[in-house]
Amino acid sequence: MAKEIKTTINNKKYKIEVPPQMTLLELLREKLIMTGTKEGCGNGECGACTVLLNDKPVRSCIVLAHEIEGKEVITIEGLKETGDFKEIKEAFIAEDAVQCGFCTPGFVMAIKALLNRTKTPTDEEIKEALGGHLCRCTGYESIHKAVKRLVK
Amino acid sequence: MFSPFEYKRPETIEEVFELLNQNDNSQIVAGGTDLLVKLREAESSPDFLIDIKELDELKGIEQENNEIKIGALTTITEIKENKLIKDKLYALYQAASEFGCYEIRNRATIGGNVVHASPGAEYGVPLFALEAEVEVVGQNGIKRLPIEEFWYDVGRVKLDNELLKSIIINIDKNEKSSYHRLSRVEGMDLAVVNTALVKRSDNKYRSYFGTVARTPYQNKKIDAILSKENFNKKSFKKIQDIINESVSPRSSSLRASPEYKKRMVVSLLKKCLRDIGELGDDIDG
Repeated sequence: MAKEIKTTINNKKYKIEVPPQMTLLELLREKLIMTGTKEGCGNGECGACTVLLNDKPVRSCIVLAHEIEGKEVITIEGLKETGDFKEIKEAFIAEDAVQCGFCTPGFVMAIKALLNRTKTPTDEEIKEALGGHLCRCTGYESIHKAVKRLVK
Repeated sequence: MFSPFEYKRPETIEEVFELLNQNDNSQIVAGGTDLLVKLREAESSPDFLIDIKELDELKGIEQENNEIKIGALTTITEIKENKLIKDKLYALYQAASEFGCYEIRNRATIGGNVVHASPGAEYGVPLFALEAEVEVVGQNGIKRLPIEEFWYDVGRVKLDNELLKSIIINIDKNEKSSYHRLSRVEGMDLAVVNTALVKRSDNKYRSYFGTVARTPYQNKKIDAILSKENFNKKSFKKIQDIINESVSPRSSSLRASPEYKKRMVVSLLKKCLRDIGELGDDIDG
């Protein structure tokens, strides 16, 4: 049975009716029409659906929508409002870190979370933060370089 | 979307038992990194999904005298970042570093990994090698049992309307420990094989091998060879022979052939010995 939950998404408060079996990803894409977050594998393995839940990156395809009750979610749409987004976007453009773009929102959220943890991540820390994200176009090198550009 | 269920988020352990008593077809969920995939693939279709994430009694890492107690709901990230674990139980730190990927580690819990009882689970071989014990809480109180008694088969643990409360490790008995795994990719994968080694304070060794049997595998003959003082190159030949004779990993494994697994667990054992500092660089192959 659907139940109302109270939550904050992209700094906006919501009261939404959510069926218990709905994932956070389905809530975002199908109910709130925030389609920036992508569904890749749907099994938590590819990273395309990454969003921030209370500042921590999580895979929204394996989080139930009910679990965000009383918590704060930031999606790629929310990030767009901040200065960081512009910097990350420009670094991606400068390093040709986007081809088809399907994995990009997930990568950008993981990078944002990394930069929240440390302003000067090492190569190892960058690899750790992005290691669970799949990209079938770029070969990863350019994405790694884009992050390095942000660190400089 | 998954097939319908009711979602419950109890705030006390008592409430969990009330819910478990109300419906036989209930499923406990913690981090959900395994379970939600199972729900999607309809391997599990519970009536009640009981989310225990809010139970503070099952969280945290603490030392009490000569024991370290890890709450079942402790996330893998929390284990990786804990200084006590890194200093005293290095194998558990190594297992956390290899576990899933950054986002998965933020959600997955050590208790979830243990009760899932997968043959290649990150927290199989190191906890068996460390002679961990588990605390199980039921309506009649708390009981404590060795992990090898609790985790008795693939996907099977001894829980009967009970919850895994914590995992306990004696730090006086265990001097040094190491864990290694082999996987196809580093970023996000499960173990093809894994191995853990513990050097105990009485200078005896305990080694466990993962994915070569239904549960983490130990062979006392191997531990006896490792514990001998004149350990050398030939000892590995003997260890390999024992492995070859004593285990028969299933040939239907998606990740590797039985022959490959048998070779690799011994190779990982060498890595573990190097970590513990008991193996010179001259021993290879």
